Amino acid sequence: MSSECWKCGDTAVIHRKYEGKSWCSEHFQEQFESLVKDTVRENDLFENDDRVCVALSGGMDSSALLLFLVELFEDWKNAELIALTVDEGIENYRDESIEIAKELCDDLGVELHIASFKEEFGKSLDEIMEDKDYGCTYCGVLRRWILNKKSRELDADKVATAHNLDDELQSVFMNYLKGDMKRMVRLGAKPAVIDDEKFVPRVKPFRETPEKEIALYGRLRDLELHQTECPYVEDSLRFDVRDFLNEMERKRPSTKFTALRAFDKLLPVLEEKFSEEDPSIRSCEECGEITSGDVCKACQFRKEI
Amino acid sequence: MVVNVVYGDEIFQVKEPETVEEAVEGADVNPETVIVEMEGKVVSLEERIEGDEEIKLINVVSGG
Ligand SMILES: [Zn+2]
Ligand SMILES: [Zn+2]
Repeated sequence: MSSECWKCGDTAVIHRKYEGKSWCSEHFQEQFESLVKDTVRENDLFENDDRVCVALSGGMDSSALLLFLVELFEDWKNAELIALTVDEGIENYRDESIEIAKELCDDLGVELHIASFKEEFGKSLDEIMEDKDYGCTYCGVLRRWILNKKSRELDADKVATAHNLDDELQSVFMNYLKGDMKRMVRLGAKPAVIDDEKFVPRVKPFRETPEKEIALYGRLRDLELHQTECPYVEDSLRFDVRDFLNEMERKRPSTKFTALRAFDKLLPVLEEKFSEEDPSIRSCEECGEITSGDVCKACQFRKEI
Repeated sequence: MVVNVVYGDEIFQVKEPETVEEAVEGADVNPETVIVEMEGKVVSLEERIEGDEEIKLINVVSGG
């Protein structure tokens, strides 16, 4: 016997404990899209004439985001979409997901740009890791640097990233556990913009969407699932927090939504208290990208690698 | 009745689960972290299990 969709009685593909309802494939997809549209509208994520660059890794979340935005922008005549993939240079991992990204962009008719660590920094992550023990710190900083620089060169007004509810909450808890309040105020669907023409603002349409539901949506829309794990992944604080939150959600459905809503109430207060009044944003002495010091983090790393 | 729960390279045998959720929990996997397929189709955690089924779990958690 199967569990049934509360709307139409068809076989359900998901039972959401946090709302006590089961959904069939068709009604789940319809409702998923409508919730993401709510996030877009309520946070004013896009303007009608935006040129949006989607950060596309070829993973499920960013593939689903690109698909969603292509369909959303069908009604927005002056909005444009392009995709940008960062190739860190991780053999047997990134090359596979880049193929997925290429195929998807072909199917959807989206212009894809690929920028690589090798081209920008002279070394692939595989080469960097030959004499390093930890990768995620380097990788994150270098990837963000490329993302900002390339999307600006591509004339993008915004970068859309596939950060989901789980990612966002993990960041909230991690920053809290590390006592990093300044980083906390950089969260949100449309993080406070650094007022500098060199900075391309980032938006997160999936910020209120659980990771599991994005994966389900992608699966139901026949997106390819790239399941290989990054070889440099570390057993980090993020994983402890992730497992803790998933355990809480299992025991107490709706925990994640409640926690995110609580954070959203707190965010304006935190912004008032912890946003730097006059952030000392200037150009990096070495690369010209924005930084709050003399030399940006990416350039500091560039010397170490 | 025994249900085979396939998760990556591993197979867990779970005895007498009444629902998909019980089968997932029986394999010591948090249902929050997976999508479940039975006979190639996605099923909800509330789906009842009546025979010797095989279910496949797909990990949805980022970073492994
Ligand atoms: Zn339905
Ligand atoms: Zn620099």
